[in-house]
Amino acid sequence: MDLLEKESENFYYPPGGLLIWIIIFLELITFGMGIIAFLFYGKQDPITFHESRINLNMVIGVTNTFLLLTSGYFMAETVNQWKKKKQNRAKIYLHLTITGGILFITLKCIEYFQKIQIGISLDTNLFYTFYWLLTAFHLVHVLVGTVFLIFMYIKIDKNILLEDMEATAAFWHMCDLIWLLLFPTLYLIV
Amino acid sequence: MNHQNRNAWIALMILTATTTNLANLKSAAYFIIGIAVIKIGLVSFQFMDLRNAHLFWKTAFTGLILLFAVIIVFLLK
Repeated sequence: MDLLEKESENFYYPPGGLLIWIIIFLELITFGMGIIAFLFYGKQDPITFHESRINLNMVIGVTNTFLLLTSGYFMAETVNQWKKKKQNRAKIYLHLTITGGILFITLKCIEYFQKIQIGISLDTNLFYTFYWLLTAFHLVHVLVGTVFLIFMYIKIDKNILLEDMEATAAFWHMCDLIWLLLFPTLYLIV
Repeated sequence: MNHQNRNAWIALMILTATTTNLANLKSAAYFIIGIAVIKIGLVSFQFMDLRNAHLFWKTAFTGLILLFAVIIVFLLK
């Protein structure tokens, strides 16, 4: 009976909670469908898509990937330290996670600014329509995630439940997962 | 510091650098997608602690990512 209860608990409480995992699945499906549509239309007009991709700033794209993954690592360490009741260490790692997020947002804004300066907008061509929609939608997620992290950082000295910390971490890692799908399809393979 | 987390992070950095270098090679798209799937696996199973979740979540997540990978590879053909 104990084993059954444990199994059931394990099923209803994945790391971070059931709700955050439902959100993760829905977000991955949404972005996944966007990427599939992007590749489908890329096949219809390969020259435009290829020429547009070449104009993307690869250095910023790669740097942002490194930043987001490193930030994800710091987030995993934050939860790890929090579980060990090492609050001060957890706070340092959380601070580093937030820094990674802010740097990602800053670099993304620089990239957008460069595009706007040379007149690239949502209706330049279909590649850029997808580029703006997919990356901006992802950026909104990173912004929301950063706000959650800042909120956690402010509240960390008070009592935060492990579930809340894990749920915030899961949301932050979801931003990593989406970027890991977006980055190769937009910047590398079309 | 969790050594498994650190090792996963090092692997992610190496895989990202590899992907970037492959970008200019012809017909590297399949490798790039393959590497992306491995990276997603590392983030989810190590950083998100999915390895300790119920089999249902592990299977559903892996299935979804593999489904996307197969569709992407099919579209790239």
